[in-house]
Amino acid sequence: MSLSIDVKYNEKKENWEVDLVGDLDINSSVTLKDRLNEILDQREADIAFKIRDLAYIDSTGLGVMISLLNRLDKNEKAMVIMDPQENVLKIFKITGLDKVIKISKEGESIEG
Amino acid sequence: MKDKITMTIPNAAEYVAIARLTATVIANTQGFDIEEIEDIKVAIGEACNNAVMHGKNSSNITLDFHLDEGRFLVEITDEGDGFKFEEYSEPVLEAYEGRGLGLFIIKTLMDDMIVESGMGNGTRITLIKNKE
Ligand SMILES: Nc1ncnc2c1ncn2[C@@H]1O[C@H](COP(=O)(O)OP(=O)(O)OP(=O)(O)O)[C@@H](O)[C@H]1O
Ligand SMILES: [Mg+2]
Repeated sequence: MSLSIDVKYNEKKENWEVDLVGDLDINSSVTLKDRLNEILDQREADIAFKIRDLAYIDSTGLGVMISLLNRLDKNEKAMVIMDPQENVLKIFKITGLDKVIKISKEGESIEG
Repeated sequence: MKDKITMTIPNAAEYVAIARLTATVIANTQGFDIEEIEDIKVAIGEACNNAVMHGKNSSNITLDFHLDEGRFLVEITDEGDGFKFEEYSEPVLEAYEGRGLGLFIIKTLMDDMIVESGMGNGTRITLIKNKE
């Protein structure tokens, strides 16, 4: 499965909402990284990832999240990852990234 | 002799998903549960990622799935430049450099990981997961 990336700016919440569906892997991570940099160049704002339908993530996907976190940190913006599937959450947990990236399930925040 | 399934894919990012999916089908046939199959899928993805990203001079990646009783065993081979595994050190997770997570993820998800590599000699990584 490939990755579909759907981006919109939420005027009310003043953040980017990024819907990811499919596989965030070696074949799609560069596209996502470029797209994220593009929208942040357009408007430097918080980002909320909705990943309920993200089936797969690997180290290249985590790499994108880490470099994004670094960019957002510099600009005092935040990111949140919403509704990961169990297998995706597991990858964040074993790499310890759940401790630096905010992950929330159905609006609630889970402690890392 | 035990049966073996061999698969060769071109050494390029767009084919890694095919290797991953094949691995899930084989693990499923061998009776692994969903979580174990996911672990195997990620581990094989990471090994293939490394062949693509670090084994650039290799035109193919070969996966040998050994259909052993009670365990999943795959050898993933590339003919790229290889590396000195002795000099590999696990990532400092607290540093979050965004690099060097692949082998660590494989080690965490699989029961065994054997790396045979050398400068100029290509790389073979053997991954094993035992059935509970
Ligand atoms: N098949 C390979 N051929 C050549 N070098 C490899 C191979 N696999 C791993 N390496 C070397 O081992 C290092 C560690 O690999 P690892 O997968 O842990 O991290 P990475 O690939 O650098 O980053 P990430 O996996 O987080 O994207 C690599 O940087 C590379 O130098
Ligand atoms: Mg890697």
